[in-house]
Amino acid sequence: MNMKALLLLVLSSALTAPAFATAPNANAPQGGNFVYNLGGEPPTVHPITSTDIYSRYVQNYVCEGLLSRDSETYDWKPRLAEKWEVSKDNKVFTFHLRKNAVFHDGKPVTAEDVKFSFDAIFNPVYEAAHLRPYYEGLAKVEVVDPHTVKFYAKDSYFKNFDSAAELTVIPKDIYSDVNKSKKMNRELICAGPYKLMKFDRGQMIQLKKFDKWYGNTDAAFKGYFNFDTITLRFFKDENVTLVRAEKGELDYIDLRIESFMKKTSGPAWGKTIIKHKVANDAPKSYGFVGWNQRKEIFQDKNVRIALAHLLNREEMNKKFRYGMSDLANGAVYIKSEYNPGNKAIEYNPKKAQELLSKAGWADADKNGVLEKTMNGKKVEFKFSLLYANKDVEKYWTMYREDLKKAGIDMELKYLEWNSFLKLVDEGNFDAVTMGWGGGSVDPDPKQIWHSSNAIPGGSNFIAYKSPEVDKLIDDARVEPNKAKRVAMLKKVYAKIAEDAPYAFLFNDKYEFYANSSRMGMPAETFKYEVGKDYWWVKP
Amino acid sequence: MFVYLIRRLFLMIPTFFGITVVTFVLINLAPGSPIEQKLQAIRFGSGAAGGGGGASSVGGRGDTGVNEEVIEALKKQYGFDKPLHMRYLIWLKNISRLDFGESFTYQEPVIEVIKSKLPVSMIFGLFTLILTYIVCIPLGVRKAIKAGQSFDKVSTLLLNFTYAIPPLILGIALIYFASRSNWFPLGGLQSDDYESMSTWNRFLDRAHHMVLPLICYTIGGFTELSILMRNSMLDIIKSDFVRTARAKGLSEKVVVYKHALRNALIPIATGLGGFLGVFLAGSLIIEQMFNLDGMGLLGYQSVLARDYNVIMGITFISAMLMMVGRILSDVIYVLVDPRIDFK
Repeated sequence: MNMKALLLLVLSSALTAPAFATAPNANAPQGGNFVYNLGGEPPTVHPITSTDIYSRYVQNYVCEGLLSRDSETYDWKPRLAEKWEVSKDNKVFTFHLRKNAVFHDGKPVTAEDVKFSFDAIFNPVYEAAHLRPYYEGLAKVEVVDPHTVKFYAKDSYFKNFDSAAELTVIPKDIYSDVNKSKKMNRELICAGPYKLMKFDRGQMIQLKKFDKWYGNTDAAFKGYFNFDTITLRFFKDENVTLVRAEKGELDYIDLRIESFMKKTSGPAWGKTIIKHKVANDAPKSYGFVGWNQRKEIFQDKNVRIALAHLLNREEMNKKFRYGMSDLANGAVYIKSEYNPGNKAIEYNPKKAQELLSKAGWADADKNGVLEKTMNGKKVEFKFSLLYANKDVEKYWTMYREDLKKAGIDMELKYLEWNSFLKLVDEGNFDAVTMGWGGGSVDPDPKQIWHSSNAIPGGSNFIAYKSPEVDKLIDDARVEPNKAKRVAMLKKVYAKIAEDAPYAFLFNDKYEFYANSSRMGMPAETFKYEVGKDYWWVKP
Repeated sequence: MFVYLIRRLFLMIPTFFGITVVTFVLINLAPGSPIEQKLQAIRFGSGAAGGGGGASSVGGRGDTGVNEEVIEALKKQYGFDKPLHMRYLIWLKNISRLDFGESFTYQEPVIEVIKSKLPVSMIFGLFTLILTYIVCIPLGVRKAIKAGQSFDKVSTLLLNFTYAIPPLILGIALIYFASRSNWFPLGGLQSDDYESMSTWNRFLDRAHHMVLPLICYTIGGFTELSILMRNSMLDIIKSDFVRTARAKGLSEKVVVYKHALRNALIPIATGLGGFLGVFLAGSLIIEQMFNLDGMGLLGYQSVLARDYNVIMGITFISAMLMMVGRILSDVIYVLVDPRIDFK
């Protein structure tokens, strides 16, 4: 690259650098077809019975709830409800529906439909038992008038409002006929900005902009949902997806770090297909090794911290992740406002050795493996690590070698996902590795960290129990004031990081994706999501 | 022969029970029932099922998530409130009315799901079969005639080479080639504007889409049949009656194509009974790579998702086809070789 080109590049990137807050482009051109790879085919798109992630992607375009989150501020935004009120005790939520919202069959959205959408989940004939856990905190929905509904919550849990606000509203007219509705696996009638036009098994799903969507004439939705049609493909193989994107057959694809670094350098890249590495504040997942605290060897905090000191994350990050991950410092995303900022445990075999001696482990018989007398019996430091994903084997091979040098004998044990989960659920393992998704911007640690969930099938499968953490979680859950809740949960996460029940692995620093050069976008990313819904086709 | 056939037909009954009972028990013993799949979806989010290693916490209550009541409701919803043997008997009763039950994943009758995937597998199965026979018989014959000569040696080398290429590698190479050359579509069974095409163009469009996956399906299969044909032909050519035919002064053409070929075809023809298998043919790898929606993928996904009814449906159909195919093979054997008589 010559100097002039370089200068131009620097200048143009300075000009296009995102402003402090990203806003939709109110003048975005309308129309065009956006072709996007779902990654798999939804077996059914039925709003009640579907459970897979692909159907949820489709429903995000076609269906709507009462409110939605702003991509930049994470505040609630009006959708089917234009106004709402929350009672002082945080137990009654009143939503006022828009008068001009209609379903795709042309019928208006009413309070009756909202009530039906809620009741159907608890009515056995609709076979929605799998949805119930999400709405258990809500007692009932009451129709006040055709455009007003009230949700009554059972307790003042802070997420009850979220459940009500995000409830997918479906037309009572259509889905109340169970026999008819049961056959609607490839049809979807809701009130969202796009209508489902076509669902060809094995081929594609096609969506078309709904011309009677209330947002079309509402200034608040300018620059939002600009495409006339959206074609969703089902390519599963990554190599194939990359080739198709290079050929211009796809307008958007997600990339993994490996493909971002290694597989995206052909002649089309940078010309017809452009790749992005963006950093935003959407919560990112973290991986971990969990120590089963039912086992005596892992009950000592010093041992757990020593095991974390022996995990060479810096090297793994460099070797396998191109240095593009943060080392997780605890059970919440590193950039989250809930993160107490504990220092990440660094690779330090010397410190590990000290901690292990402190805990009473020594290699007296010089056979290379540490031992300790527990309950009058000599125990050698041996355990097995359970995992269900072959891709991460390289990490654990490396870890095993470092442990061996420290006198710890770790056996790797790979199992197919269902068999793996069975052992995890039964608590029948030594150590386990997997990952948790980023979860919500406003997290609730109860599922994973409360001792009440250290039961068969519970998510606290390593049996972490801390009365202090339990108490703080219980209090935070019913604390309506966010600032106070943040303070309480920071303490929770600080305590968890200190106890080292997991050896925390990595937080992704970036999201990687590519788009065809046909796409226009207000910015590479919004604060809480990439924001494909704000893109447009360049004229 | 007739008695033999009747006996074989009766033997199908215990075989059928053997296969279905074993499959039924095995899938029920494997960890992770359809209910557990739903519970996993609740606990880890819907991306987790079959996802191997990853999980994500849901935005739900953040509680234990699932209480007994919900689990009971799910059991009832899927008919798992009854003991194993009862469920097998119910399945048996339903199957006698050709009712395969409902797929847990697709929420549709199993037969509808299979019917929607079958055409893809059938087309490829059928074409693969036809192509294999069309290529392998003449090739095998020629190899036998030229046995030991360079044609035979070079073709054997080539056949071994194609046999050794994994479909995955071949598929990626073909797709790469297609993307560079623009000669063939990258996958799928038809173009997006298929519906608006004339009948002739539809036919061409389908054929165009089928070329690359068909290469993947067939290329490895040539080897076995060609070598079988070659060896069978060689055996026959060396036999006494061929020598006699030659001695009688018949032309080489008549000797080879009239006398020898017919006899050499016997072992090949008996394999034809297995052609019924093409109805359920399907390769997970090829289907996944070329974005085809066939039986291979369905079978694999059903096992991962523990979709019991679909697994049982596929098992039932393939067991029936296999058993009928075996009987057909025997019948063909008798038809082409009068010396054989099953008693």
